[in-house]
Amino acid sequence: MKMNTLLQYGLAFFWMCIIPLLTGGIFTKVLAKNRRFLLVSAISCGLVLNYAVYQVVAMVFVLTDGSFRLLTWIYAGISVTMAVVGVFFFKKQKMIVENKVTESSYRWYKDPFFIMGAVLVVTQVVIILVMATPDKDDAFYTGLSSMCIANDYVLKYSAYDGAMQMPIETRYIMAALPVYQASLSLLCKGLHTLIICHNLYPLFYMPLAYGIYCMLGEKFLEKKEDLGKFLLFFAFLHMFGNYYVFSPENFLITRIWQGKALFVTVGLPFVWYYVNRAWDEENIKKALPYWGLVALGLIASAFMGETGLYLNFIVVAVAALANLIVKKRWKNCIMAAVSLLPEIILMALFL
Amino acid sequence: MTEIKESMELGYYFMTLEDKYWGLFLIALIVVFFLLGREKGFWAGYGIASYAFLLCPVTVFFFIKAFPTLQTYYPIRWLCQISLFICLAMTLVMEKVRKEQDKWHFIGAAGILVLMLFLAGTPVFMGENQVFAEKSGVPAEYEETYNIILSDMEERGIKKAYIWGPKEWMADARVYSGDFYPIYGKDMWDSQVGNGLNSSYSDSLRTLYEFYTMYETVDGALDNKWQQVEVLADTLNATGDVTCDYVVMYRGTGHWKERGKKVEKLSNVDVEGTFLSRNFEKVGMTENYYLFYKQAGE
Repeated sequence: MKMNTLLQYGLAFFWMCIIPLLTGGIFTKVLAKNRRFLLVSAISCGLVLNYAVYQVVAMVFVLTDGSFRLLTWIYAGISVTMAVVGVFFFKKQKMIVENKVTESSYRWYKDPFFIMGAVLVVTQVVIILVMATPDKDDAFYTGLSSMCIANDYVLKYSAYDGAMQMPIETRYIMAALPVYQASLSLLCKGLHTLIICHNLYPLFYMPLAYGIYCMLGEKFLEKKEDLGKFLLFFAFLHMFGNYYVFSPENFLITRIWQGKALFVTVGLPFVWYYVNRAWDEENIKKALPYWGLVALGLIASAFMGETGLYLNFIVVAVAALANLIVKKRWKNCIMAAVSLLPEIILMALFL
Repeated sequence: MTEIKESMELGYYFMTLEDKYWGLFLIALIVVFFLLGREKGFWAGYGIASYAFLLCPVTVFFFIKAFPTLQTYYPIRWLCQISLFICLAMTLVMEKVRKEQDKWHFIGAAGILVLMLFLAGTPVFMGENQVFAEKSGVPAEYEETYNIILSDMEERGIKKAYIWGPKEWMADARVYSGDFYPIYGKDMWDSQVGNGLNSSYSDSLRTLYEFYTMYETVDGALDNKWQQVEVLADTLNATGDVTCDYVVMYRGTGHWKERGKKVEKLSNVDVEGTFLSRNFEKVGMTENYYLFYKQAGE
């Protein structure tokens, strides 16, 4: 392998894993209550924050017809700054050195079911790396990334038509994921967006998606020892979920790099999880960080596509209604409404 | 009324599409309700909301009305987290079967997994477009053609090339390099438009699109493919308002043969001669494609 290629992959690992992990340190108050899933929580929170920031910055560039390269460097600056702040919070809380799991005696590496589940997940990742599983939409989405790089603009014309006769639909302009993937290409010294999408997204984010689902599973399970069985069933069921081309199972395993797929496998469970955590807190002050993450998750969902914008709105709204009836925590309802505000502003821009 | 009926039919269509997952999800909700000791009110509410609102065919009508730009209804089903709760229920059942870890755990787990295999459906790795790839999803031969054109562009000092060829090839070209400009979109079809073709494109482009579609089509009259090849070359020369640098044509009969069509007479078509005689320059060929450069001034 050439030195330049190694450097490209190293940079990709840095921007796609290390930066989100360190940025996650900003949410140490949340992470401290979920030490079993410290790595998954930190990366997912950091990733969602990065996506939300990118979405907001990209919107400014779309509206002002700005340069794609400038957008990328501005994002890179903000991203690194957030990561530094995250490291500061990590150190302040001494979370890295004191990462003790005190809640129960469960150890995943001693659970044969967890090991089997993890092997299934690894197998799925390996299969994706040697197979080509894109659908025809890829010509559009990854085409948008190629066009941003080639023409130094941010989402203006339909990728189906390089001659630039067709202005792109508003709903595509507002979702910045393809531009973000193009930015990754630029930040990784020209590593092709196809490789980033088809290889690195499954490699890094499929395990993350499973991790978030495990967090959700553990939230509902009464015995933490059952987590391994849950993972095994979940990974197995996903391998047989090809009942529909747009099924969440199909999305997770075959094309996690596309907006809808990333939403249904990362954005949706993320918001589901933190909405649930927020509702569990009776004290509104303790629930605040969770609502903050919900708000960020909503913006990140818009980053993944119009579908995410609408659907996670429904999740928060329905959860608010249901919990108002069941738990009668009206203060949390106000927080839910506040967390929806940035989303509502984005919706207004989308429409 | 018709609108409501159509919406319900669409909702029912998605119900049938999800097949056994419907039943599994319902069973899972019942299992979770009875086996999970806490928050029974939440689970009951969740189940009722899922079936009465999110998965109910009647709500399709209201959903489409509320979010017309989404165009399709299926994403709302994602909200239910069907797989999550099926697996949650199975885990709870396993826990009830055996309290301690022993061989029954493994046998039970294996039995449930096999049952899932039969119930859940087709493996995701057996999808329509899933093949073993050499590099990131672009077919190797397409990649070969792109590289030939890119190096030819470099020799000629062309920064951006306008291309015309098979639909799938053009679509992948956009993915491969932003320096390729297909002369029209991968697909001009627009069901919202009266004649079916997107009106944003010029008449010339729509003509070129129709002719190439006819040439590519499997069910078309194969006997006149040689005529179609001539028409393609002539039309491109005649349409002065369309810029096109490179044209890709099928070289052999593989494209049609793959689709189970007899194409004996096609082998007589002299694609190379037809294009060369019309002021095109051959820049290369692969196993299945000819690549031509359209010289200026024609």
